[in-house]
Amino acid sequence: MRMSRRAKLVAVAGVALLASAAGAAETRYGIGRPATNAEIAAWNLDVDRDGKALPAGSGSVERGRVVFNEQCAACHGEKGEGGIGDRLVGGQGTLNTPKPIKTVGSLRLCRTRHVRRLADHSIFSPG
Amino acid sequence: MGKKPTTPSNKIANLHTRRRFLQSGSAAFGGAAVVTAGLAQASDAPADNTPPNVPQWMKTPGADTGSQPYGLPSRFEKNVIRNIPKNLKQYTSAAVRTPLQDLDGIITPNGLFYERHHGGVPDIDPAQHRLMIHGLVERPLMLTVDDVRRFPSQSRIHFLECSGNPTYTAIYGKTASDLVGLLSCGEWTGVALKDLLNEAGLKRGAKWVVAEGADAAALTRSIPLEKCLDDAMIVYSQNGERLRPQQGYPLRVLVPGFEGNMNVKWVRRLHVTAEPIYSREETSKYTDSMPDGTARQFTFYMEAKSIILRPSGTHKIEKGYNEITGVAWSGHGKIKRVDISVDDGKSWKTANLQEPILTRALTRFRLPWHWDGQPTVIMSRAVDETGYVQPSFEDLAKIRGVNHFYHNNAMQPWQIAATGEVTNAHVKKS
Repeated sequence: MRMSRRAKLVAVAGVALLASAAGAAETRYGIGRPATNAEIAAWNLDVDRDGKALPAGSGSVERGRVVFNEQCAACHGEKGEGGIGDRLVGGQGTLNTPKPIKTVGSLRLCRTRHVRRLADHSIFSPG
Repeated sequence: MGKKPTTPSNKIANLHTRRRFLQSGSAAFGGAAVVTAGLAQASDAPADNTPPNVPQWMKTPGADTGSQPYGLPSRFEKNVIRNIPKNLKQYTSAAVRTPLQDLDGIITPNGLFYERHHGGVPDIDPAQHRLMIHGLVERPLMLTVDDVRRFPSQSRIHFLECSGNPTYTAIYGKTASDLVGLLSCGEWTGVALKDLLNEAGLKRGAKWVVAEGADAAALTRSIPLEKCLDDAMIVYSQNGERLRPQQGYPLRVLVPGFEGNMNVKWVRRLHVTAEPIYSREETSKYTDSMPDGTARQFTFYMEAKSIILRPSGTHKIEKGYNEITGVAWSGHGKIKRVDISVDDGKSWKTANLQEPILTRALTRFRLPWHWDGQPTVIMSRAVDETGYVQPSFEDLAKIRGVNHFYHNNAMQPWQIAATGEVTNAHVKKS
């Protein structure tokens, strides 16, 4: 079958395009292995800004108090007032004063990953 | 004990061992004469090794070749060590400083790198360490350290600086190290983060990469994707050898020019996201309080800065010739110029810059100076390739107040007394 000159050009261009797409794929090195869903779920404890990624909660204030006393109070103080670890409570209204106190309460944005991690290990763990 | 034939070489070895014993003995006794007859020759201390005498260390062979499998500095340099604060409440989330004023050039020796950890230094077995890439990617990836090392490698020299170096209320330290010792510079070898992200394949909507460390703090920072696709690296070596545990062994993030804590050490996870993660380290910490009660967030860049290291606080200079030398750096690129004032900011001279002048690396500057013996104040001022000029502390504090905490890149003035003693010109008003 005879091809017109124009058709030949288009065909050549098409092959070139395919080749360049393959070239892009070749910049992959094929190193490593796929991460499994189970691995991702176990390691990814990130909480997004809206808290939508938080796990379903359970527990109670009483249970929380026990966990705080066991896991947190030694460094952060019995009432979260701080010790060898940072102060966790109070400080509202201090951010524009000479002694600003940054805490979960005083900083609006401070929903932290740190809290999620402790929650996973302690408050949300059965028993 | 088995009998060995006494060969000539054996004799030499024995002699050698004996000498070493004698040398270490005399060191242990602080150079005092060891009074055993016949051993006097090696322990004639304290010997005068200055001219016209021939020094003792030329009279006997020195230590055996290879006597230190991993070399250490001379014992006479034992005071050149990290600047470790005393009496901190705890040392797991703390910082220790590089003794900048004791170092030359632009490369920080690995053993003297500054340290800032948030949950201590993990002892990671590289065979069990993994780097996972997931989120908005086509192919979530699990990489071993060896896998990472198979990607095309690159080596670049960059500084690292803690963002609170020093805080706005801690400008009264004595030495250069007390003031800006949370600063080090090394040659980093690793792979382009871009290559790893490309391997996983970015999905539409990817804008941030959240990096997490495998330390007890699981330190987590969000890095804008543009930086990840630009000059960010995943690093496994510093100054030619594998990363030190304090620097993130076996893998760390390097985001040149960005505040220290974003260069996530012991990195184990890269989560590609549409939004930053708003971790503790980008909300309650590493946000910069303004006088009106608001805070600046995601203040990544370490802006142009410089400091005179010699002469600097606690030094004492002589009248006459003195070389002024120090370092300058900018998170935005290369240092273009360093100005030095020897008259408390009234006039400025241009310092000589030592090549190489590298992007986002320390640049060494020098200026020959004749001190006339009159009390004065000296200081340096960096200008980077964007034209940005390092500010005075007063100008910075006027805008930011003194509770800004992070990103203090102000000039550091040194007071020189008539005696030649050098002290911090910032004096706390009490």
